[in-house]
Amino acid sequence: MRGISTKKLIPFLAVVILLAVLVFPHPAKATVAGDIADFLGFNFSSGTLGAIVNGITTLILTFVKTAISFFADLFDKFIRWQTDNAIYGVVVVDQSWTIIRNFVNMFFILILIIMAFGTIFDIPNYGWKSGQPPMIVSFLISALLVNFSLTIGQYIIAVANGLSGVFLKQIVDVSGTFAQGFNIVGTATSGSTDLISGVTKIIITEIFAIIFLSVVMLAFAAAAIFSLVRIFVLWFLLIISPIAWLGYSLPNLRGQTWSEWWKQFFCWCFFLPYYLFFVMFAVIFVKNRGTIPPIPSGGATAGMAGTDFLFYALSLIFLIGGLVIARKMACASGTGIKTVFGKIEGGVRKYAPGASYVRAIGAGAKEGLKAKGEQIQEKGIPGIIGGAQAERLRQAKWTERFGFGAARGEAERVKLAEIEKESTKLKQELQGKPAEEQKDFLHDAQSRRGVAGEAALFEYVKQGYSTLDDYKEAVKKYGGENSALMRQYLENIKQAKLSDLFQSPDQELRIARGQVEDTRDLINLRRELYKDLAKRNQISDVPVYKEAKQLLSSIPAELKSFLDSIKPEYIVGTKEARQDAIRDRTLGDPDLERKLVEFMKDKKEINDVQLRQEALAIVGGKNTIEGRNVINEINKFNPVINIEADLREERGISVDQPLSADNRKRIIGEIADKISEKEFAGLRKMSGKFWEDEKTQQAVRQTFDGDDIAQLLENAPKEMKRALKDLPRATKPSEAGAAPQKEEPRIIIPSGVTTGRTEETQKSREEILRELGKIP
Amino acid sequence: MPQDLQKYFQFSPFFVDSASMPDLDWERLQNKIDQLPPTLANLLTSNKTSEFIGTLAQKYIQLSVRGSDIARIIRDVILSDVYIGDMPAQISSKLGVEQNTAVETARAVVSQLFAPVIEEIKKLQLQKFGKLPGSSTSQQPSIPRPVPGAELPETGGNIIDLRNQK
Repeated sequence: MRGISTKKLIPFLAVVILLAVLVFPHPAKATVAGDIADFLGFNFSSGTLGAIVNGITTLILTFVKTAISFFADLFDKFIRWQTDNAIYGVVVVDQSWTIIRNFVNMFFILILIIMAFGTIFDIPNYGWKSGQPPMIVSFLISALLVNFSLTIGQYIIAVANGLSGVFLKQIVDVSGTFAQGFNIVGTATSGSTDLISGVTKIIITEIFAIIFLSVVMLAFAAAAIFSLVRIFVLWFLLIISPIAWLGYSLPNLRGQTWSEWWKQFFCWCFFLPYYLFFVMFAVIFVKNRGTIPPIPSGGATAGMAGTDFLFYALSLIFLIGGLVIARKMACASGTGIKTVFGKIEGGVRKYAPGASYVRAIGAGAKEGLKAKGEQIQEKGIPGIIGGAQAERLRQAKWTERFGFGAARGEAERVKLAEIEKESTKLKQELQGKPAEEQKDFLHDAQSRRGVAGEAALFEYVKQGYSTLDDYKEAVKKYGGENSALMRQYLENIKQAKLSDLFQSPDQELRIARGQVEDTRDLINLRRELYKDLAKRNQISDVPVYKEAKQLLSSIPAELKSFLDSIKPEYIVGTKEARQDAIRDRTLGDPDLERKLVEFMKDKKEINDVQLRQEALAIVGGKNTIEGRNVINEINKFNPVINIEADLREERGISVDQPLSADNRKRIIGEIADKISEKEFAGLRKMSGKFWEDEKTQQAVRQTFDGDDIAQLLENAPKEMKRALKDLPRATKPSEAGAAPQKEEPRIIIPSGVTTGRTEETQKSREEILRELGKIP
Repeated sequence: MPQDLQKYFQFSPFFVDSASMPDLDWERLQNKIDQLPPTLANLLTSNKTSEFIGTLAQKYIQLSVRGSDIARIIRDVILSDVYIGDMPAQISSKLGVEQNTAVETARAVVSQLFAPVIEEIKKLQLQKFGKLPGSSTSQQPSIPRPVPGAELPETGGNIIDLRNQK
């Protein structure tokens, strides 16, 4: 044959011969095999070959079926035995438990001593009040209930067994049912005489029958072994249960003893009812095999028992899948049963190729099933079991109920943590959705059961979709604004945009001020509103500021946040108003005054001696950091204010008292000093008010010459020029009737300009220059 | 050498009416001064201006020229209250001197006092009056030709050049 090499021909012939040899056991198969053998030239009688093949497959199938029957019987017996009478009245358990309990009771005295020392020396976790619940409470509970630990354990096992009993009633005869149900002999249809049909029959009916039944056998073997192990493990756990209760009273050992014991105990207890639940379905399937309508044969399914495939597949899903799901539902990760069943599962998969087939059937749904399994483990089944999440919430509630003050709010904290977890999942779901659909998605997701629905609500709020009415409803739902959940709700609103909750800034302000009837009691919302308004510079008058401050005053951190956000220039809008507010101290609020001084200092609005004095009084005096900053800023734009203020202070002259000519002269002396040092820039910073003063002008006339005045006026501010325009009219001191001044010693200043200066003035000048940083 | 303070006030275009005319509309005047460019505002208060006017008054003492009146005219020209081309006529009428002396005085003011700031004065004058002396259009202003300071015999040419003023 052209195109077919010898290398390919040999394996092909080998397969054909093998198939011919393995031809099925009934007469029709023998005939076909005989035909093939004849066709290939083998000299076998077709009846002999058929008998051999038939014998081998029958032997294997019989063995497997017997094994299934054996293990099913074993499983049946074990579970009935342990659910009927292997819990109560087991002498070995009772006696062993008594010994352990008596032994453990001795340690309670020791724990009391440990607690006493822990309290005296304030050892963390060992004081009588430490922990949740407090150590004294856990000690009393464990000391009391350790004596009932056997009864409690037995009762829980009885509950699990009772649940198992419900399913067991439906499974009357496990071994008989499965032995009968998995009887697959004679599944091939007769009548096909061609080669392809014969091969198909062999593959389908014999090989897969063996594989399927092997998997079933392994599944039953695993279940039987487990059910046997289960009761011994539970006995062991019952015996050591006093140790677990002892561990409850010791916070540092609680995790390794109490928690671990309960985890193992629940796991081993409740696996059985879960598994029986699935076995029950398998039994129902097997029992009703005959009622499943057959899939039509012929064509591609010629000779196949299609109904049988469906039947086997579903039965196997219940048996093996049930094993896996029951484990996940009953046990948290890391438990002994998970380890044991992990190995059993591994064994089944390794030694039963059919398990792959089972997985292949559900390949499309594998990941989904896995995720669903995890979801069931976490969230339980609605109306049946609560799942791990519900358990955590329940525990938190009980902790709160019996944990006295220390555990207050525990339930809400745990719930918030759960909501946070759910939110993470929700965000993943949300990522795949277009922006325009996200709002509807989150809205619809709020109808989800339990924490998932609440997570959707919180995310909805966080995305800025909520309204004021939503907030009011949430307050009712979560038991007031001060609940942890409601606080988180408000946080989420803030993460979006608080102002979006309102129709207008005016409404926002009215609600913040408590002017809207149905929101007056929403104190937390109003607090946040005030803080938000402050951040947006919407606090624009003193009464609103004071109301806000009063509302926020009970929480220092919030008050600080509010004050940090306040910009005083928005509250006191004009320069004149600010100067009046500081000069007359009309605000009546030290915080606002301080902020105002801070602002005015930078804006050069502290421009006379009285303002300087009040500003320094507000910030705590000139020796404080703020006070020094005020003085330094004034020095930058009008140092004369500081010179005058210091002079007044030195000589005890209040700011509202006019300065005498002598004092003026001294100030002018300082100014003249600046003139002599060509510091006209500093002089030009003097306020217009200063220059307007008649006595200032008298002193100027007495001290300055025309050249000085001209230099002073060069590039001078308008105010200064306006003030000095009357300088020629200023009356000289002698003209005003002032006493003739004693001639003072004149000091020659290095530049050559002479000024009327005393030694005292010279000393003061040095001080001032030092303060101004002119000299070291 | 520092000038006497009283002289400074008397000859300063800024202070000239402050003492003698208490009823003067200072607010209007001050507003106009506030609007001036800094160089012109400084010219009003400068001691050099007072010294220049004092020197001018000394030179024309025999002609009965009074420093305060010149200071007023200079102020009014700088503030554009008086057209610069009318300065000789103003000097002539207010001081009662003949035309030639008035023109000579005006030239001295323009060429010596106004020289450093002449462009700014021209600009203001043009804005206010739309023309400049000696020109039919506003584009070619004609003002009295600058005369070197040396022509003022009594000062011996000791006129301070405000362009070099710091």
